[in-house]
Amino acid sequence: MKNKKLVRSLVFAVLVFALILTLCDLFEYGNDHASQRIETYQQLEKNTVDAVFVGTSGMDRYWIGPKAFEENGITAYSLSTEAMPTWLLKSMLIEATDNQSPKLAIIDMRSFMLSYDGGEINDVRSRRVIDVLDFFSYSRLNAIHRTLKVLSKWDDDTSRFDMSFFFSFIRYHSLWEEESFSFDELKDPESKYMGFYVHENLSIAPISKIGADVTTQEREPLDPLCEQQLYELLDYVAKQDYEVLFLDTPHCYNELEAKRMNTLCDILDEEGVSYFVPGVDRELYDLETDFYNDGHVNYYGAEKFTEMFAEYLTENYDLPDRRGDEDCDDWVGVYDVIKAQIKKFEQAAEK
Amino acid sequence: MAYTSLGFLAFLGIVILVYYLVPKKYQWAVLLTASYIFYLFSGVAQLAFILGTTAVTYFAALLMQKKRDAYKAELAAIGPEITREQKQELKKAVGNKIRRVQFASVIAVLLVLAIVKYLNFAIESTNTVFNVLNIDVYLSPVEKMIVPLGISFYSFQAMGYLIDIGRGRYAAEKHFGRLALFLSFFPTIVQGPINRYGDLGVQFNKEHSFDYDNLKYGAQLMLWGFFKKMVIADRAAPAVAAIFSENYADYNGSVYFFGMLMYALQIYGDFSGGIDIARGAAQTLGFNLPQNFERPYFSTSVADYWRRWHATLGAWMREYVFYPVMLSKPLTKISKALRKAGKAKLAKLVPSVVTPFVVFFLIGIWHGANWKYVAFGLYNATIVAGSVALAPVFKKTIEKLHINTEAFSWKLFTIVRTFLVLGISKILVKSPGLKAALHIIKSIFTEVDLDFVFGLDGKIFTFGIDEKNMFVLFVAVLILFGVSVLQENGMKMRETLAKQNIAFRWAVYFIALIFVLVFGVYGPAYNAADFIYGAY
Repeated sequence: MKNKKLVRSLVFAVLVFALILTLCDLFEYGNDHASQRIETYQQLEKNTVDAVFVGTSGMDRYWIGPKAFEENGITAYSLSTEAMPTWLLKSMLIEATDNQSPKLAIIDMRSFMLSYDGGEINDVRSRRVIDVLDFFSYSRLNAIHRTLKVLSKWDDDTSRFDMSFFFSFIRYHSLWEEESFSFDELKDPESKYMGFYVHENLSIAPISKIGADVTTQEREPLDPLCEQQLYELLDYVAKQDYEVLFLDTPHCYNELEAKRMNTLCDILDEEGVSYFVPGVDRELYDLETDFYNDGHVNYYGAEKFTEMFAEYLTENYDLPDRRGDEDCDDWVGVYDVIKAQIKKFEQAAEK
Repeated sequence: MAYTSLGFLAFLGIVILVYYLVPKKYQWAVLLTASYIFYLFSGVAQLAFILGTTAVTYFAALLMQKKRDAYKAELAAIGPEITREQKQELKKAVGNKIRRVQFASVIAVLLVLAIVKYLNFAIESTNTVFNVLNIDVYLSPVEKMIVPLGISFYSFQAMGYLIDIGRGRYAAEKHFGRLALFLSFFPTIVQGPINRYGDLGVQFNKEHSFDYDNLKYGAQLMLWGFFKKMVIADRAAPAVAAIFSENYADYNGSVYFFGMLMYALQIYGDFSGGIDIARGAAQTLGFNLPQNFERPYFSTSVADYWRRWHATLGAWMREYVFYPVMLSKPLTKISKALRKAGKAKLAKLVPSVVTPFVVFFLIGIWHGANWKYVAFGLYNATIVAGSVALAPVFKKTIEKLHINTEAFSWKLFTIVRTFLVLGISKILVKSPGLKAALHIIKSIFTEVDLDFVFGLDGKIFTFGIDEKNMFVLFVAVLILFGVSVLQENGMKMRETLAKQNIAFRWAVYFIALIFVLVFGVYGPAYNAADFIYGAY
């Protein structure tokens, strides 16, 4: 009798856990693209990705991986989330090497331009990463640990919400209250663009507002947290098997960003770490047609960037030509799918 | 640590595990450690208060016990040749000594409670009086006054224990740890129920083996508590906060009435939900705590309501205030004098009318240090005393009108009447002040906005409870109502459920769980309100 009750209790506990996981899965919030991006990466054949981008939207808006595959044979994938905080770059690198052995890690320099002065924004930026990682993965646990450590600097009371990082459902269960809520919208998009961001408006939109584009020789210290995280990250990548390249994708700087970028480059020079800051090449990009805002290119700008950067990678890194490799079939034809999708958006916009 | 937090569930899980794994003779130590750890979450300084109260209670009770034992020993030493007068003299002497200790210790416990909870209220009230009398004196309130968690609850338990020991109801607890546990038991420390030592204290002296049914029933009760607190109370809360705010004057009588209904749901869901969680948590550890709520909104009179609402406070007041006041020398003298004067009816009536005012004044002030709570108490006292005084008139009226008081319609009328009468007392408590309360009460009777009542202008959904939330709240209240009706008719829900097939039982558990998880108000998106009674 006792054994029967024990078994029953265990079965019940397992079902409750399964229920909570299901609810976590069902109530995700506004992170469909990143979610789909990570999920696709996890499903790729083992050791078929030779370069990974980690960082902010400054990666996935710019790099059309399938185009570089078709034209240069490079398999380089964006593992990015919007405004990915510096403390989670390491977690994403852990994720990147879980099923793949990339030869090159391309780290977004934009993450280090951000200011982290506490509050809700850091929580949201962190959740965008944590929520898209596999529930049982080490990278997710690492991301939660690092986030809680950082958030505790600002909010003494974060402990009461710690569990919501483990079980995202605690954070998002009240989504049903939203006017626009429907389970259909919560499903991930079916199309997979191998890390590239495709959006019906932003991909084809011309720039809405051109901001400042400052060039300066002055320096401004990085946010103290960024600087600390930068050195931690440099320590970490120094021990890894892959090469590292810091990249700042073309966009318009404001004054603070421009000064901080100079400081970041100084630090990377001192540490002997490679970086690439192509800037907005006015001969290559048309500011009025290739950007959807002053911080991001649209699809047309991404085409140009990918072409240029793929050349750069081919020239500077020993990345194999993967075309014809059966294990890389997932990459085949995706560029055509992207182009077709963009065409559809253009036609819809014309109407 | 809020009872609705995952932290509390994890804490309880660990306590349960350790509690049943350690040798039974150390179970009290596990619970005491857990209770003090739980208490420490509210602050180290607060611990000093409960420790102080515990020490005073422990030593005073032992002293009373010592005096009583000495008296018994003296009686035994004298033997059977003791005269009646001698015995009475000894008894009187020891009684006086015990009463002195009892009085001093109760005052000591009460003093701490009074200082931390009521000192600033007294200072502010005195300043108001000075101001009215044009006396140029200003007393500064004490800034940063610490109000220890659950001080009203453990102080009342301590006083009840001291009075019971003084009365010789049971022997004083010689084990400091067990008495400390009685006063700090973590499931009850935040909002009760207020336990008598004879009910709870004695359970700490027993050994508790793991019992599957206790664990199961306890978890079920906790889930029900979460439902009431998180789905009903916290979902109704935004409307209450919006309507009974400083902007109250912007609304009309119908809005106030809606606010009153929402507050009735909020306060009941919050308090009774919290008590269910507390009772459920205690049951998982093998302890039975008394019922504190017995479907109070089905009460047919205000007196009935106070037997069903916060029943342990009512019982405490009956035992330690009502009867002592009723049988006190001054009231007995007045009754005797009236009887002598040939006014037998009045002689009987005076104690029954005066005592409720004392009791309800204390109940009012117990709820908070503010004149609105005093008004709340006196309002209830007036209703109770009035119904006693006018009982013969009511009886005659009912007879004359040939009303069948056994009929369902009459019962329904009395339930609705009681709910509305008590609704006014809730407005007194919830309004921003007495002036606001009077305005709100007056408006309810004079301003009816039919568009609002029937939801025609959609304004009803603008107080933090939109259509979706209102629908969820409505369904939840229907469930609560259905269960309450079944319970009122004698059905024991958990026992009835236990008799059903496993598929049905588990379906009920999972539906309840999903309901709480999805429709409960909790988590970082919501600034979880602490239990309302936690501050009392």
